[in-house]
Amino acid sequence: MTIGVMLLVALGLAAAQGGRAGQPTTPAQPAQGGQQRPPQLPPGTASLSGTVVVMGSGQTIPAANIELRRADCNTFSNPAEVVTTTTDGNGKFEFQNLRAGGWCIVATVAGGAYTPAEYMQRGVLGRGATIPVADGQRVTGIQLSMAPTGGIAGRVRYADGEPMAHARVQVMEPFNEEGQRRLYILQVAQTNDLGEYRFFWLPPAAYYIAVIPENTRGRSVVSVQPPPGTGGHREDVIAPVILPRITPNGEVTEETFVTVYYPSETDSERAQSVQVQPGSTTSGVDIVLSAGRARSYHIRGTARNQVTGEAAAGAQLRVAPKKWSATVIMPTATVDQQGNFDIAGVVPGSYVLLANMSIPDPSAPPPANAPGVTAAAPPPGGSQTAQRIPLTANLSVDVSGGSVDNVQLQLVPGITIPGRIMIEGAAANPNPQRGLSVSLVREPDVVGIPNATARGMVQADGTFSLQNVGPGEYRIYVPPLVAPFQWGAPSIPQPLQGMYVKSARLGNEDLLKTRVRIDGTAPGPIEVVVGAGGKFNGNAMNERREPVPNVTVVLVPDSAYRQRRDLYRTASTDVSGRFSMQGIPAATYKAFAFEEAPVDAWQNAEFLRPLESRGTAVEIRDGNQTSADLQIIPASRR
Amino acid sequence: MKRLLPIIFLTILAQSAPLQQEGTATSGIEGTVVRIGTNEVLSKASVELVRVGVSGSLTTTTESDGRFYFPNIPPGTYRLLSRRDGYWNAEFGQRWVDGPGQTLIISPGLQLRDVPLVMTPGGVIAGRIIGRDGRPLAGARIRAMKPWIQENQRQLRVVQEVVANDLGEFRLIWLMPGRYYISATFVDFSPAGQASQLVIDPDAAAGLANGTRSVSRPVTSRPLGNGLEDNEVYTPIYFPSTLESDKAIAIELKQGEEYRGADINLSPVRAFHVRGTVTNLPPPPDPGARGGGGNAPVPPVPGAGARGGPQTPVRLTPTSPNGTQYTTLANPETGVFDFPRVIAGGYVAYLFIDGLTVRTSVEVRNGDVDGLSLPISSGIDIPVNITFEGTLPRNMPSVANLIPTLWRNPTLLGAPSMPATAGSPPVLRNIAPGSYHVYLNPLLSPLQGANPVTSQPAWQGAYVKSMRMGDVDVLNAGLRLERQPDAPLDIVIGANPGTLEGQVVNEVRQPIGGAYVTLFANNPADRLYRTDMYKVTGTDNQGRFQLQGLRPGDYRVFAWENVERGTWIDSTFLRLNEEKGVTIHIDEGQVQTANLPIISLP
Repeated sequence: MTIGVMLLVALGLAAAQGGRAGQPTTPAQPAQGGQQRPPQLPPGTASLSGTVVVMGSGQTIPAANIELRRADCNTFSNPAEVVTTTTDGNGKFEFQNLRAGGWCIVATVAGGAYTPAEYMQRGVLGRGATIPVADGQRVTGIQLSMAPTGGIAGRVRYADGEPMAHARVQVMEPFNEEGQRRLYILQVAQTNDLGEYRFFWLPPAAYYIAVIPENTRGRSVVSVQPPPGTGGHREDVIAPVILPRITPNGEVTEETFVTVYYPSETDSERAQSVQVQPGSTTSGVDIVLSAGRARSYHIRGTARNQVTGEAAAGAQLRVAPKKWSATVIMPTATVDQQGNFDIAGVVPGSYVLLANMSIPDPSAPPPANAPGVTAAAPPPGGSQTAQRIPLTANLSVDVSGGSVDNVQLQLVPGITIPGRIMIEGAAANPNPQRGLSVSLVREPDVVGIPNATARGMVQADGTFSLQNVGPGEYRIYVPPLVAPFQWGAPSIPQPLQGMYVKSARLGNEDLLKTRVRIDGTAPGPIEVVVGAGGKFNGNAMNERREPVPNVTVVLVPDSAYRQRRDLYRTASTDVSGRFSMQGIPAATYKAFAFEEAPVDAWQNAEFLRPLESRGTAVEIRDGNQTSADLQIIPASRR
Repeated sequence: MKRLLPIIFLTILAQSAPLQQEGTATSGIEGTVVRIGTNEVLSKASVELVRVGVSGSLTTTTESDGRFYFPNIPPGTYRLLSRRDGYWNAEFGQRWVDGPGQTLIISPGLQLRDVPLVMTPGGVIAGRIIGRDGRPLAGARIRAMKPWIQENQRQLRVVQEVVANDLGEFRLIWLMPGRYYISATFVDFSPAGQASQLVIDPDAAAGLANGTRSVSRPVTSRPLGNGLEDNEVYTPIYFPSTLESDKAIAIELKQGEEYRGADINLSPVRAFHVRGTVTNLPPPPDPGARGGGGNAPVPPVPGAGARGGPQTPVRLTPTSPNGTQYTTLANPETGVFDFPRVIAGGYVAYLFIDGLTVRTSVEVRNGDVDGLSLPISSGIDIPVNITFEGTLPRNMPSVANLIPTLWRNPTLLGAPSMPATAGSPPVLRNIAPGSYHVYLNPLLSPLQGANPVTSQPAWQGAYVKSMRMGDVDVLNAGLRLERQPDAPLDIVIGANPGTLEGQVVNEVRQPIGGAYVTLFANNPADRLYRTDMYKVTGTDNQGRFQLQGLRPGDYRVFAWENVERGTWIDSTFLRLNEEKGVTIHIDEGQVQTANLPIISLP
């Protein structure tokens, strides 16, 4: 609960103070690290200078913050060095005493009026190119163009024209995943009593707007307002608003609201985009909520605790839609003392009904009553805080034109799945598995579900163990080699660079290809093989065969494997137009060089279809180098 | 808070009261939701029928005709409530917008028709936030606040929060008539948490459907910051233009009013360092495990790092109730700590370690404060004897179930509570010298919020009769510890309470039903601590009230109408009306009678 006292945490401020005024310093140690600082190096001899301007007008921007870090432009944590400065009254900046190396530069302005700018970036949110700096070199004329942010404004009304206040309005951004366009949340705001909303700090781009009424009396609402260029890929779970109605003759019906996308669609694929131009607010983006009103039904039944054979009193129930969406409207309930449950607010659709509770671990020894541990009184309910195990149940439920009754759930303990990772050619490295982990993520992989991931770190002997894997359908990740969405390239420890996951099997199932069903019996160990992948390098060139810096080179797997996120590889060309990538699974690919493309656009079949013929066929073999020069696909030709 | 609702329900109540013949005839209630002072019917109102004493309720939603129907209900006593966006929660039988409701008695076969539920629209406070450059400050956070009690201190509680848009504009909406304090601040961009929970209903509980995940796009390797210098910070500015909440001016919002002009200039303020040393720190359990402390994130849970961990959180808590609290970590080897951005004001620097609170006062004026010393020493153990006066009534639990708990006086916000260790006798352990209030859960417990602490049925009639340490009357004078006391703390429990009953009347001696009666300790200085003497009740149709289970003592009683519930804990409000209250004395076992003049607020 927010009280009139703010807890200000005094930390990280020392870090923010280092490296001012253009003088290099070693970045602050990571908070949890505790290593020794590296020895101070002598100052460098190079310099770098330039100007920050408004994109389009060329007007200079004073007092912009410039961060220069000795790192690749996809690397943000633990760069070798970081220096910062601000632009003068003429928008100019200069760094001196730089050491030789590759430097990445970014300009930001406090307050949200401009989108962060990087050097040579493609598109408003493209990543910059790394600037090579040699000893004694004077790099000049680095221009950073900042795009002014814009906004979207409109009104939300009920079908009868009444303004809807405290509606949750979302700005959504498209991403491409699993071959589809998915809309993720970028910003969230609430309408006022006039039904008005206003979004701001939006980098110029095409966005989608969605509205969902929130139950303002059931919880506090969220405001999501990331500074430009920093947010995104957000998913939220919210509770349905249920409107019961009793007719004069006593009949009870219930309605709820589903998400409505601008202009008036409940299907996100039919949503229309709203273009934001630099420095201006697109207004009149009005939405009427009539399309979102839907009849809702109940799921009722009983839940038992299989361990005790008793009612699963207190178990939490969640109804998770099988179809992915960034805003999950999730009906929930708690099992009563008799083991009965009644979940309201379910609209027709396909769901997984999930149940969660925890019980004291029957196999754990009783906790010792240590006398005089603290001066505090014992916590209410005794002292057995540790040693609890989760019980879960997982059941598919389809709801069409009515309530579903007599659903029976059995909450069971999860199982332990052992596993082993084999790293081919590992003899050369003492600890090659360090930093690798294996996780199973239960489907549907939507936000707001507890115990959805079982994760095990790979031990020195290559084994791992996944604990408490409840019933359900799972997919595998092997971070950082096979990982969920992230911005830019994953950070892979040195011994694993050049490696890829060749196979991941559970019995006869190929976990890289299919999801696996776990249903309470140990299916045997997971066997993961990591091997040395192939390498691919070359140049990206334009039609005049000139090298083009900072374009995105993508290896797209053959059409049969386009759903396999783990098979795609991307890299950017350096300032001389060269690219290289490694750790590529042995297979045949098509290589593309995009001058400018949204993140992971190539995973969308519709994006790639007209460009298919412009890919270059490439065959990658384990451990071998393949080279090809690629002709770029200009931004204007898409 | 001008208008009282028309009294239209008493006749219905009178009709419903006579018992119809017992039988299987079904009963029902139907009616219409209307806007106050008009015939305008309200759609989208959620009408709830609650049967008193029975769990569960019936809810319906009105359509465009504003009608609600509850056919086929069992006979019984009911409350009828209505909620709607844009309006204040209403209940059948209210005499003003926030007044107590009245019940409907439904006898078998009774069909109540045309029951009106009158709803009052909320008001709006609108304004603009301007930054120091004279331009709108997009993203500023504006809060509407009301008085309330938190950890034994009068505070302002946030009742609604909004974010200023890119024009600097904000609208706080659906506000009940009454007094509001407004503040504005700018919240730092934190690396991962661009999302912030906004308070819409401070009493709302998060349900199971609650969660988020996101993959923020990195832009820089360091936090983006908000354009401030190292020695500047944003801190709440209270309307119209003050850093101090007690100098804030409340906006008096009338029914359905739109108050424009709650404009606030929000500039950052100078901030200073507060540095010092914790001495006699216990050795870290794992020597050499880490170096360079004071640089790491503070665990947000108060006291979580204090239990034997190498990182000792040091807190700086303001002496004014709505100030900013700061937390930092003392270096585990040297004990050195540094609060880098503290705004001017009075503070207490403290740390809490193994039950011991070490504290020192700090005054930050116009410069850095250096050389604070927080020496850790061993504290004082106080045994507590709890006895029952006379014979323990049957069914009453043993006094061994009462938990003595110390609270620092004045309260240190966020500091862990200090309950006695269970035992015979219980002992308050390792207590640092200083001033304290002694509570005895559940007979004497701190207030949280504006409502009285409800007494537990098992302890009905019991109260703390006295609390003494040697010659010192701890219950009335507080506990001041300087050294190991010679005597234990003796607490005596009594169970011979008194009763106050009477009638609330207006100036022409007419009884006033549906009014609030509030009872406090007579001495205003005792009111926050003596929560066992704070009671609230309502009057019936004849203006009668009764308060039972009162501990003997001196009280002041007030009868209110047209007041927002809970406003009476606001010290300013109470001071203004102090003379309108009636002083009474309750003796052991006595039934005292008092007729109270109604305090009708303008």
